[in-house]
Amino acid sequence: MTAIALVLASWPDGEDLRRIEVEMRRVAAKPESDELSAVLSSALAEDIAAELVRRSPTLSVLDGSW
Amino acid sequence: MVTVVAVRGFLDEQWALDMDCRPISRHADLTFVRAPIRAQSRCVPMAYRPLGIVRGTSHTARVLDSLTVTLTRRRVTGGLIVATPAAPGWKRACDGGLDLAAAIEAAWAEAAIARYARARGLEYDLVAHDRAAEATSRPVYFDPDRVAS
Repeated sequence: MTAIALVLASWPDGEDLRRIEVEMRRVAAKPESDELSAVLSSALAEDIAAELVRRSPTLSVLDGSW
Repeated sequence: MVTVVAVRGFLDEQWALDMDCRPISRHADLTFVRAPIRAQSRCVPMAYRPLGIVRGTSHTARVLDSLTVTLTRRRVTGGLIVATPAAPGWKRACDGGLDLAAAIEAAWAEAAIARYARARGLEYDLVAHDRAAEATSRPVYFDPDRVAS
């Protein structure tokens, strides 16, 4: 099974989002690396976007008010 | 200088073998990569010649093992701009969660296209291509006297 791991080079963490970098890696389903910010069981872009929105307070506004 | 466009619906796995990539699923959509023969003008669509076929556009990470994207906030209208260093000059604006997903999807596909173009010895640089087209193109005006009767 293939998963997608997100590695965030810069994470806003409550601050106003200006620019973040997200590295997406295809990894095994259960990676053992601690450097990964999140591991998604699905490789679909919808799941990646949902995870980014969930992790970012700025991206949490979905109703076109970004 | 190459602009690549994607047309879905073709089926060929040879490119993945050439690229030493690992297709995950045989059911992935494929992208037909074409390069322009010449840029006649900005008003007339370019003619394209086929370069090959790229696998993996409908689902993320079918082709590449990793991809870095940058999300930049738009200053004026809000929203985000998604770009990736794997495809210089390519950007997509998005205004919501679904748009973000589509942009991420497109980033993977565009990175695959850029990788394919580079593997074929073609430069993938949309900014440079736009500049070249700007310099060589001429505006097209409608001339009724030259219309065939």
